[in-house]
Amino acid sequence: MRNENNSETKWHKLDNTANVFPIISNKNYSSVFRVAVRLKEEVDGETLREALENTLPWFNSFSVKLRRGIFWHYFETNKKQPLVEREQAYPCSFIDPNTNNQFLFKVTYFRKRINLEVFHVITDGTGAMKFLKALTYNYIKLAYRDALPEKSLNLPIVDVVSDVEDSYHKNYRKLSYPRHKTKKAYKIKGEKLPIFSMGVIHGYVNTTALLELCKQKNVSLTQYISTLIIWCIYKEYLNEQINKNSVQVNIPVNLRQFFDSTTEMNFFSYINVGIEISQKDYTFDEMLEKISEQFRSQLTKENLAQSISDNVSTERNIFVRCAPLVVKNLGVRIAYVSSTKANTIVLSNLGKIEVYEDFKEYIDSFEVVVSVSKSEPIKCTMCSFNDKFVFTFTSILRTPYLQRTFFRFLSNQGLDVTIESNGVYNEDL
Amino acid sequence: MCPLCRTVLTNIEGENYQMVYPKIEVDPHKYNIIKRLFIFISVLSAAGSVITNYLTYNGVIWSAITIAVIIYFWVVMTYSIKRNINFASHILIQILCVSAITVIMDNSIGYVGWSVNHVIPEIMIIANVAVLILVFVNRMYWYTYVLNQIVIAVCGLIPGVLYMCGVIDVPLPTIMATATSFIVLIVMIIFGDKTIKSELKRRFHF
Repeated sequence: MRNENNSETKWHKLDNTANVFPIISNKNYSSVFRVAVRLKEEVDGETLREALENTLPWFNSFSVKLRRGIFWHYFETNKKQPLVEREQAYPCSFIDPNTNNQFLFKVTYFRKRINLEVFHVITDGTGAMKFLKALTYNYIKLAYRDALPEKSLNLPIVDVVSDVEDSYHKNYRKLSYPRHKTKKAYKIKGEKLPIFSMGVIHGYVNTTALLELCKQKNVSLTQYISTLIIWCIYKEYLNEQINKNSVQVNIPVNLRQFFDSTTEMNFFSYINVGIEISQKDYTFDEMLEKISEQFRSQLTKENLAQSISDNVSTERNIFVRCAPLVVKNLGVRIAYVSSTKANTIVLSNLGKIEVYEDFKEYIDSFEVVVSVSKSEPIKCTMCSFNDKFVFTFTSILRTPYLQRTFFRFLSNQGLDVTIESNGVYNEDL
Repeated sequence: MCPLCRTVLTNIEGENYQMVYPKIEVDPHKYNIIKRLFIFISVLSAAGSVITNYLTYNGVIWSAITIAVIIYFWVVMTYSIKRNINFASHILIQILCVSAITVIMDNSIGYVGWSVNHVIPEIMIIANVAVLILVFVNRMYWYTYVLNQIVIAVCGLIPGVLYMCGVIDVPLPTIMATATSFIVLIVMIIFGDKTIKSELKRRFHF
């Protein structure tokens, strides 16, 4: 019964946020997101497999499989190798923890694009983007080894070797503050696409022109775009009428910059900004002013520390800790359903993606795609690379009214917008 | 065609656009039809057996057996589809379900105690031996069976408890089941060393 590998079987706990994802995820809401890179030339599967093999040892948080304990899920080191396949499913499809040699991420490719799909349990957008960049560097090094100078081939694939640390616990301070009751937000409704399908629309604009637009209003890009989304919902779905529920945009915030962390695991929180539609004649500028003010008040270290405190103290509660996993499953599902009531839409901004100068000529753009659910049927992401800014809307609604109004608005502001979709809206479904 | 406004696009500056996403073939109805067919057959069989049993009642509630077997079918099917990794957990589910079915059967046709006296202790012996065989066959990952093995071994002690409560009146199978469980637990304690300790630490961390 001696097990030679046993002494090397390493394990670690899920981070504070990750505990939720194995419980709420299923085929209808996968909790999977995609970060992808488009290269200038077609991707070769075998080279990509080799690149992945070289990349994985640098990322301990990705070399894991998910296991169930009596009280919590946990990660165990996965000594197998993940598969690399040609893309053959809708983006962000559910990752069954028993497939792909039990890895919790997937690497696929299609024409010039490399996709990294990640089950949110292992990391967030920042961690995934770091992995994708390392994978892309390794791929370029292998695919263009004859064209690249020695100096470029020797560049490290990561600038900082990340650590597997639960930064929520690391930065936990017990804080007491008044709790607010979750208010119901307006929900976008409409006829749905067939089950298990998802519409993706990318919109490309010039980064400089877009930033100029924000500069004119003296606001940040995220402030501008969140307001624009609310404006579009107000115009297109509410038909500029009063509604008892406010339109709320949920915005994930990367906590690493606030708390000086380099963790590979999840370390994000949310802010929730919105407008109560209590009058009929809102102007865009009025909304922009209100939203910008909410950003200023919510996006502070104190506020984010409170959210960490709230989540960690729940996890540390002795009754929660002692409850068997089956009981926790029930509680988490109820809490999750309640939390989604507060959002109309999710907007995720991964910001400006920087890569080594030597590899820039091989890369065309980056994009981010997130999974949607019945309670949050439309989500939007954005990121930029060089002068290419990419908006990605994912939706399970058949008619892209919000997307249309959104891009028309930008176009009316003088921006050149290029649209791409995954074809779902054009199919005779 | 533009995905936003459905305007038919004409040849844009002669550029040749390639598909950026593959065409996905999904038949969402296929699985549903099979599932619905099984649900229909299950409901029909259950209702049919209850009605027939009621109309031809002669003191035996045999329809309870039919319903128990249908539930057993669904539990096993659902579990087999979802959890296709750990064989020991399949064995655990089987012993729990089969034990329940035998008790229902025994009660339905007039309780004589054959379920608790013979079947359940023998199932426990087989399950304990089966997991031991699994451990020896798959020695590389045997530690993944530890938790299930403990639960099965503890289940194997249940006939002993039932015997002490006076439910069981044929002692031999129960003694054998209890002895097997004890042997399995002792083997694990003696030969398991750090392996069991670290697996249990992981499984029970809170």
